[in-house]
Amino acid sequence: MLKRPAFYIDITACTGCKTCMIACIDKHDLPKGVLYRRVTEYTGGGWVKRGDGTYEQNVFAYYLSMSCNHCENPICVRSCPTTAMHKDENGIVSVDHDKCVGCRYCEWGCPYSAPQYNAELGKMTKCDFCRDYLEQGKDPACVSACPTRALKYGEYEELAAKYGKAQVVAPMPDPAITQPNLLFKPGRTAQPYNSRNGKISNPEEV
Amino acid sequence: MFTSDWSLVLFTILMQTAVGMLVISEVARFVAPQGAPRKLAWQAPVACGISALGLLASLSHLGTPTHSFFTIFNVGSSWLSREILAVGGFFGATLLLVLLRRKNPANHFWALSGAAMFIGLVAVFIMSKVYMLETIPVWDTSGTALSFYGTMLLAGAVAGGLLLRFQTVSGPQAAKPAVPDGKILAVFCGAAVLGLAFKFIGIPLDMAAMGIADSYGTSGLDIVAVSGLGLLVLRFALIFAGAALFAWGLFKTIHSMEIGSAATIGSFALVMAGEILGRLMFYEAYLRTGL
Repeated sequence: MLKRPAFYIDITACTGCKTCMIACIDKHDLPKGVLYRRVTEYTGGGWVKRGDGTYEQNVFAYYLSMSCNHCENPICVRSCPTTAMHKDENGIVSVDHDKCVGCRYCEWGCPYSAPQYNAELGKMTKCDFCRDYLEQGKDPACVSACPTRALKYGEYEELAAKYGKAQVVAPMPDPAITQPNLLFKPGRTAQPYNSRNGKISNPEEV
Repeated sequence: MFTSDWSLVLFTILMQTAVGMLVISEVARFVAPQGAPRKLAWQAPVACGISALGLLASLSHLGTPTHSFFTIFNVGSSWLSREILAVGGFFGATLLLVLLRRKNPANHFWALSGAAMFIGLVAVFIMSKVYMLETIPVWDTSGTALSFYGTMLLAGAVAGGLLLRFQTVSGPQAAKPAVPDGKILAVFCGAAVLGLAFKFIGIPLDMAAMGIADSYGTSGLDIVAVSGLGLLVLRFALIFAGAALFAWGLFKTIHSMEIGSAATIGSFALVMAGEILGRLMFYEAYLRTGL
């Protein structure tokens, strides 16, 4: 098992096909409205006037496949009143259903929308990094389903050594808040994390 | 809109009203000890009852209320755990005060009274901190704390004033209602004015925080604009009218030595309508950073 599990997303390779999202729903048999992984589409830009009086466009669009980032300083764990939300010895943040009271406070605070309320259970649920698959030596469902191999996982330090230290792009929040175990390969049009140039254009999907 | 979060709206308003009633009535008891114990005898028991109702309302917010016991397990880092402990402590301290005074009406039990007031004031601060999360800039402003303390003082004053009116009219000596003396009325009126001041000082702080847009390109101000700017105006008009009517009613009481029904009931209804509307809008304005 991993000690500091992390995801790596190659934004230049992600086509926004949402196969990772569907594979996650299928693997965990999630009810309608509960998504452990979501693919957001971030878009923006327009026409810019150049010095010679002509115009050029600077439109951009890219996808971010986002699940729980099993943060080093998870706000969900800090704020959970029952200690049901916890980070285990394998670095996976998960919910102890024997304690969870279903107050949804973790859902309020998490800037990645990782904790998902399951109304049938009356409790919070979330990505557990496909713990059972990892124990069997298999890849997480989302990673193995990705047709472009844009989504990878592994030990944080190994991924960082291979792909470079974490970079943050919009609309990701300030990583200092929770220290997510997430690495990116930003695309050519990636916007800085605090940019106001674009917006999530598929809110009904995520 | 405005259909969710009713349990939290009721919980926060009831708890803040209860704390306000206790704090205001205990201060009034302190400044006018002569005759105050009888005139203010219902305040602490009703505050205790209101806080019990608030706690019950909070249970309906939970997906698995049978696990409520676990909610105090993370006091070290969770403001929600601290809130549950603090409001539970306020209820416990107030209940103990009520029971002890019932056994020994001549004793004020100032130490316990002070402890209950302190726990109540701390509980309102903690209630604010529950919402002041760094990932929710709309709520992460001192305007949240000002609003909660404003509710505590304003709603506590009008609820206590309403109780004062009914107690004096229908109490044991109903034949000749005992009008509270000027000092008691001054404490209630002062609390209402201070509560109103907190509310209005909080407006620009709230508006500044609500101007921040999230990753969907939406800001709290957009939500207010969509939900109805008129409701925001109505909210402040209601609480201002309620506070003004309350002050006028108390002035009339001092002037005519007779507590008016219309002013106390009207001010209570107006302030509570404004508070409920305001709290619903508060929850509706939830916006978070990130995605």
